[in-house]
Amino acid sequence: MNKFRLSAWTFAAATALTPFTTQAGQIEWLQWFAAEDTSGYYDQLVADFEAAHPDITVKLVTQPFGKVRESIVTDNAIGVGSDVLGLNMPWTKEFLDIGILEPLDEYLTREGNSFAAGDLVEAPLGKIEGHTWMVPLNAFPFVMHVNMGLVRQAGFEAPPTTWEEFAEQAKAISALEDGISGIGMPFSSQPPSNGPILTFLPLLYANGGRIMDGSTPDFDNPKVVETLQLLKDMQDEGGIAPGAASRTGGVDLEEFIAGRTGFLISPGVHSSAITGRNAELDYTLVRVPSNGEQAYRVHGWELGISASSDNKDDAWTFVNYLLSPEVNAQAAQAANALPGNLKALDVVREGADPTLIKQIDILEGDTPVEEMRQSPKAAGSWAVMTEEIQAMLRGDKTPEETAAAVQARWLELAQ
Amino acid sequence: MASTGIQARMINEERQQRWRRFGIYAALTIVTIILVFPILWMISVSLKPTTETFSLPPRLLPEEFHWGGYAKVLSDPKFRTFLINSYIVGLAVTFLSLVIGTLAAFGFSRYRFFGDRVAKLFVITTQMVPTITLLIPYFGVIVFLGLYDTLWGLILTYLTFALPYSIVMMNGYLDTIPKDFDEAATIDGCSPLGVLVRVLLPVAVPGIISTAVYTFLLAWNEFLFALALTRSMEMRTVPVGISMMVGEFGLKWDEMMAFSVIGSLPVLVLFMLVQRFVVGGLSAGGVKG
Repeated sequence: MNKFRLSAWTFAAATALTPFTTQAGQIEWLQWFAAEDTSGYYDQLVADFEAAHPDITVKLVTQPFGKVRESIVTDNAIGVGSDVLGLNMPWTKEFLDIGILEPLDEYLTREGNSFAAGDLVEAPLGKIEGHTWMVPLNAFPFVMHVNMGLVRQAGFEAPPTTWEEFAEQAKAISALEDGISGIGMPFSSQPPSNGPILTFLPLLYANGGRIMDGSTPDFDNPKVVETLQLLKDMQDEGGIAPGAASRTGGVDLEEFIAGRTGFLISPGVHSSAITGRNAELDYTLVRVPSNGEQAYRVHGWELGISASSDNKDDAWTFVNYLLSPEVNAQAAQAANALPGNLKALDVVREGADPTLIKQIDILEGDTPVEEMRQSPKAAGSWAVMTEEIQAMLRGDKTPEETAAAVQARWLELAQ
Repeated sequence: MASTGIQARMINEERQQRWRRFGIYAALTIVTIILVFPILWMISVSLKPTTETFSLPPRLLPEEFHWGGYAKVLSDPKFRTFLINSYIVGLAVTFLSLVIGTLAAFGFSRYRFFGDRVAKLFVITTQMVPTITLLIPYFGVIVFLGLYDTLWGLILTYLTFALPYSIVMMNGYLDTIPKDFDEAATIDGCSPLGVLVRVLLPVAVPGIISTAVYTFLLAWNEFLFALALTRSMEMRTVPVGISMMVGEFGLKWDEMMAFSVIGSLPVLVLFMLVQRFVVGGLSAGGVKG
């Protein structure tokens, strides 16, 4: 009797602690999007999909953003990779080298898709090695967040639109009082801070510059040098908050929310954190100050299918569902982002946060740019950029020397 | 004259002693402040709105107590799941490592057998391998065993880290108990297991408690393997839950710190309750009597 009880307890404990094994028609979706969401939207999204597709079940696997890249690589190596992958564009080349991603060209041309490929945000669709590897769920354009209170206090009526006005206002705001600065530049090497890709690249794109020529590094061009010169001049004039070399994107955001910096260049999605946490801030958002060009850096939440998935068709059914205008609009609203399917824009506008509507309006007609996905080793590349820009801001290198040093190190990295 | 000299020397010694005591207390106060400040700051941030967290000059006491972080964390069922999982894993690892570790330590302490020294050395050397290097092999083994994304996988993994420590600690502690006890119990008719359970374990309570606290802390605080070996929200533990609050677009400081406080409480309370035993157990296990 005792032995029977012991066995029963053991079995019960084993059942309670062990999840059911994978069944046919079950797919996994590895992403970090649900960790960013506080409303439970993604659970509801999965439930709605399963209700509409009773033969497919979706397991939502959520990781913190800082660990997703490693998880995808490790899971793939061990053979437990998910079917649908949440992706960040800069990871593309690295994943292709390991063979993690399935080409999506054939899927995109399937009849019965809920969207037209031409309606999707273009940046992630560009071909690498002759194929398209990911589709956009959401798009986060980079904008400049402005503390209008500080701008007015410094004697200006409107936020800057040109580089000249930008440098002038940043300097004037820094001169207001101790502890207040024009803008923060997060050039910390500490991961997951992305350093220059947050601030330097948006300014470069607004200057009409690029850092890649196809898949070849092209960092030592005159546009890059001009943009580096802008940063150097602003630093020398005191427009940039002290401690750029140890400043992370997170600190930069918190400093802006606390009202200690006049400007913040970052994804537009930060507007909800800013207005949500400091309702008293006299806040607006504008296009990143331009030197004549109307292009903006775009970041996104992308979707891909694992090359090792046993359920690729089911995985595509799910991706197709996510890209349908109705669902895609909901996903965009939940993330306070622009939709990956531009057909969803009108739906997104209805009842959207005013800051999101403003992003849609100010960026209409501008060119979205994302180059890091073409870089052979994106994480390594931006670490090199960070180190060299830190050296420039310390006064160890001129902008020309900085550009040349990054270019040389990138070429070495590419080899 | 001599008595005046003696008196002066005594006064001098007393003064020196007072200064020495003052120095010790000053050093202890500084060290305590350094150790306690992060905990106080964690509690402080958990009770502030985020705007106040980054206010200058920094303030330890919030202007107004903000309970939003706690309300959010306590009302969200997924955080309760993280806590329950951490308790299951922590208690299971503690129980199993104590049972297996004590039996193994009893063998090492009371019996001489072929290869016992090599076996003991092997147990100690397993502690010298950096855990990060074991991640991929463990990952493979856990997947092979079909324990990936289960609490059993975590329990088994932590057991491999906790067991060597338990064996070494309990062995050290049992070595301090004279063998006369065993002999007397054997004469009275006790079996070897009876000697362990009825005679040695009651005397070894401080050692058992300090070992239990260490293994529980190990399982409770571990992050890397908990993240790598689990996949679904239903299997996550407290440290992974806290890391989920470090988002791509910012940190939920108040919620993160509120959950950190809630996650630290069991460990703090546990340690405060058994602190006496832990210190005694560690020193007794560390020095062979």
